[in-house]
Amino acid sequence: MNNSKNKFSLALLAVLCIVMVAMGIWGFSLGNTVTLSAAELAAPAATEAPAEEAEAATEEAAAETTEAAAEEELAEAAGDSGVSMQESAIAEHLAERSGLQSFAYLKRFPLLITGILLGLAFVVALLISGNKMRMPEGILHSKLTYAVVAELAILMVCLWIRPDFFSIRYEPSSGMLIGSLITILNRSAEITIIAMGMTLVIALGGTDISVGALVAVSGALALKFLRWDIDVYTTPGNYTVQPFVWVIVVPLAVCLLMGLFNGALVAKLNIQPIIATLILMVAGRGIAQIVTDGKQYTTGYAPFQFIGGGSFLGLPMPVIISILVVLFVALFTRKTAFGMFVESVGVNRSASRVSGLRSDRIILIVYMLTGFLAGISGLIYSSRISSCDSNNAGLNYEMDAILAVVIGGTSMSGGKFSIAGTVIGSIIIRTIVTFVLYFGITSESTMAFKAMIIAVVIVLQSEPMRNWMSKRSKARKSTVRGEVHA
Amino acid sequence: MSELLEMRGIEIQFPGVKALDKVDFTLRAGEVHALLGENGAGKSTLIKCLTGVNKMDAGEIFLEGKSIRPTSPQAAIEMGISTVFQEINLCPNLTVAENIFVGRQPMKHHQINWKEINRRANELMERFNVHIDVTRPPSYYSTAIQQMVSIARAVDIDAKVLILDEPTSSLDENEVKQLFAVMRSLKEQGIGIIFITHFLDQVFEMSDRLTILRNGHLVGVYDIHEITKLELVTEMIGKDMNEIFNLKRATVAEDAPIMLKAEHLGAPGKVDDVSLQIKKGEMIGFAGLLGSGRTETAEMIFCVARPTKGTLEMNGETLKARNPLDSINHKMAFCPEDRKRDGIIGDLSIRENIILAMQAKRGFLHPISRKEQSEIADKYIKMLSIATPDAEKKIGELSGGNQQKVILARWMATQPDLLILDEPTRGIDVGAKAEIQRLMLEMCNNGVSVIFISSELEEVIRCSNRILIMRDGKKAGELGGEFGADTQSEILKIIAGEGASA
Repeated sequence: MNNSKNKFSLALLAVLCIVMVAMGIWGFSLGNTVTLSAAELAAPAATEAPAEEAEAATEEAAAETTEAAAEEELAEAAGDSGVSMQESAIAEHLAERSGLQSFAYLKRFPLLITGILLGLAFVVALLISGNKMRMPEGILHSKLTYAVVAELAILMVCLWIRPDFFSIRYEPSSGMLIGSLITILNRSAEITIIAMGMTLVIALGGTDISVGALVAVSGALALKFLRWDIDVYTTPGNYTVQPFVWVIVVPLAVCLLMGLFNGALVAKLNIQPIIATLILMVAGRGIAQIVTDGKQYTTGYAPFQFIGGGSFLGLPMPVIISILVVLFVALFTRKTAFGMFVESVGVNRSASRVSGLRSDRIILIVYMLTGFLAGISGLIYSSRISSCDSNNAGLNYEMDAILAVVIGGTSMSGGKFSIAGTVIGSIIIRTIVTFVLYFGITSESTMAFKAMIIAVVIVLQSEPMRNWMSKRSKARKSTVRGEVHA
Repeated sequence: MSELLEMRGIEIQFPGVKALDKVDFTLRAGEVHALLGENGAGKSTLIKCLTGVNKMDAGEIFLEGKSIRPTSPQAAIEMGISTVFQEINLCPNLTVAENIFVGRQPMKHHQINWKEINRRANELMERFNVHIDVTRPPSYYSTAIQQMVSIARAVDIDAKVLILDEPTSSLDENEVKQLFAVMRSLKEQGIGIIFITHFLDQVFEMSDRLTILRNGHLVGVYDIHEITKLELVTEMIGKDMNEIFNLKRATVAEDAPIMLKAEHLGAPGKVDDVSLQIKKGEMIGFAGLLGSGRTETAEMIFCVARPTKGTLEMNGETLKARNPLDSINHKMAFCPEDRKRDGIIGDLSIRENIILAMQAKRGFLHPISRKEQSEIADKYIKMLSIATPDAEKKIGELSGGNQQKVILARWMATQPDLLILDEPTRGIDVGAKAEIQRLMLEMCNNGVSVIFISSELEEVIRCSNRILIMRDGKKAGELGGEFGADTQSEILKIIAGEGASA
């Protein structure tokens, strides 16, 4: 019985992934037909012709799916990719001579592979957590399902507003993939990274509301070290005086210690987590201001800017860093017994202690990790804006991170947690922001609109709602079965 | 006689199991009706169905001839069905009087009428022959008094049917008497009482009729005079009682090595100067009243609480444990008294609960593979016959006896040399009790030393090789050798402070 449930959820996940990949391909084909710059997109008159093309492409894609052979085609495409790469290399060579048209065609292949890889990454993420996330009432009772559905729904609406929403282009000049999906991943990196730590803190039954302030501290320290010697700073390429390592190591170390402080208050002095972390939430921004003498330093140092603005393998650095962090946390918690220990302490600290867990140490590690991750997030943020901002850096990040964790299906009362859920939660939050921007909503009402969508997602995930949904599906199944028997 | 409550053909389906299958139950006005069965037999499910917690899939409920269908505990209370659960659920931050009237405070000019609340609460408790200050919080009083307060609250809401779920499991003898007096007076008022308990003596003392359930089926309804204790147990577990209770005490060789040697253990305010020695394969029983230092001694040995003085030696090695993990590493194991607080990890699966201590011993960097975990879990589920569809069920969803077995499995999996069991049989039924006793003895025969703490002298005497008697945080005596018929009275004498210290 359990087995069949697992199969069912896996099948549904597979379908979701295929849909994602199909959308990727579709978006990609649009990306090549709609070759508009941002400025042109802003002018509605210019979009007429591409819109028609987009429609044609839509029909094409629809026809493909009705053939229900999309999966096979994908497999073929994947299998042939080796050959295609060779072909593409030759063709690229030709393209250089013959002009842009065929070049545009050939760009498809790397993008197609990216799409498939994204889909696969999604499957892997779900499988890692799928091991742990038991779905007692089937997949319709899992919060994760609703999070994924909500995300897909928002993406669909985005697509409806902007037909080229899924397009991903390769920009040779910057060596980066460009597209709304990439932007969402890029911009959600800070929250995703913090939310990884927050997931564990919440699984312990706590909260850490100091992470936003730690982001400011980390940024301030990094900029402080970059500006240690103003003369050195003003001479480009002359940074050897101040080893770049310190710019990275010191902020992270300080954040780690601040996490240790939080953890010690919680584990050793039994202070309620929200109160314990409130201290640094308030003090953190003050410390950041002291570090920078209340000024906003800026930097033009390229290696530092690379953290938030650079790219690797076509992906923006923040995306790369967040993927690494997610992988690290997922492996650390699920491939060792650490995740189970965290859950155990979160559910029943006293019983865990009697069973031989050193709960104090586990709590300390988790809060330290959260502080450390907030530090990473702070480096990305300050690198992105090439500056530090003690007042606004990481503002409300703690709330976004908590929200991401909760949308991901981890209960605030502690216990079972889901890494994949948190990642999706974080992406949802960013997608909503993007959505709001694309919808052309004025900046004044952005917050209210964001809240509205989040409210819908949360309601969808609420216990009675999920019970209702899974009951309905059960009722439907049983009537179908009844008919068969009759 | 008129039927106050009638439940007909109740069926409840849980995922994978039929919890109740066509169960009938009747309750007359002014009777105490015992509901009996092993853990997981369906007693709680039947009660939950009556109080609207679980929805029934088929069947009807009639209260005073009218068909009812409670949809929530609140609705059930309004219909006159009140429940007092095993765990006392009073708000610790409110006073006794507030607890009784919370949610239905008498009002005066849109303000709570405190005078009235306290007066009526006082009256109510007086009626129960309990003389307490109702303006104090319940935690100020003993568990028995708290239990009375819960009952008072339940009864004051014009209850026609009162359900008492294991009301006596945490009471001592005098408190039980006090409770029974209250039950008798309620009976006279014409209230029908459903009485769930594992203490068969109390069943025969209090109830008029009894209904027996087994595996979700109705086994029979008897008048109390129609059935003997032995027949009752046989009906409950579906097996012959003698077969189960044919337990033999472990045999310890004279020259068996000493496993644990504790000398002058003590901690201020808890235990004062306890020394003991346990040989390999020996079972030593701890007897004494609640709060006599039995549990505290066990906790000091396992280092849940660190002793401030004295020395411990395990396998000839001096122990300097600082936390339970150190003790586990010295091959000790400890089943705590409060299963809910210190034992189970409610939201985790049976599998995870079983391997927890083993994993803690190995450290989180050396995880037990998922496959191995499942194998271990399945092995112990089979060995201890834990009633569950699979190892992935949450432990919190199991019945008390099965939870206890999982905790036992957790410790057996660590392959200890010394197993400390603090009240392992509390609140579980006869069948499971016998099974746990059998397991303990089996472990003794395999060379494990066991410390067995229990409030039930009978089972301590039946299983232990030696008995250590505690009184007021001190060792009051020790009995060994052959135990005869007068052993129990001898122990009671020592507990009361009359007997000679050994």
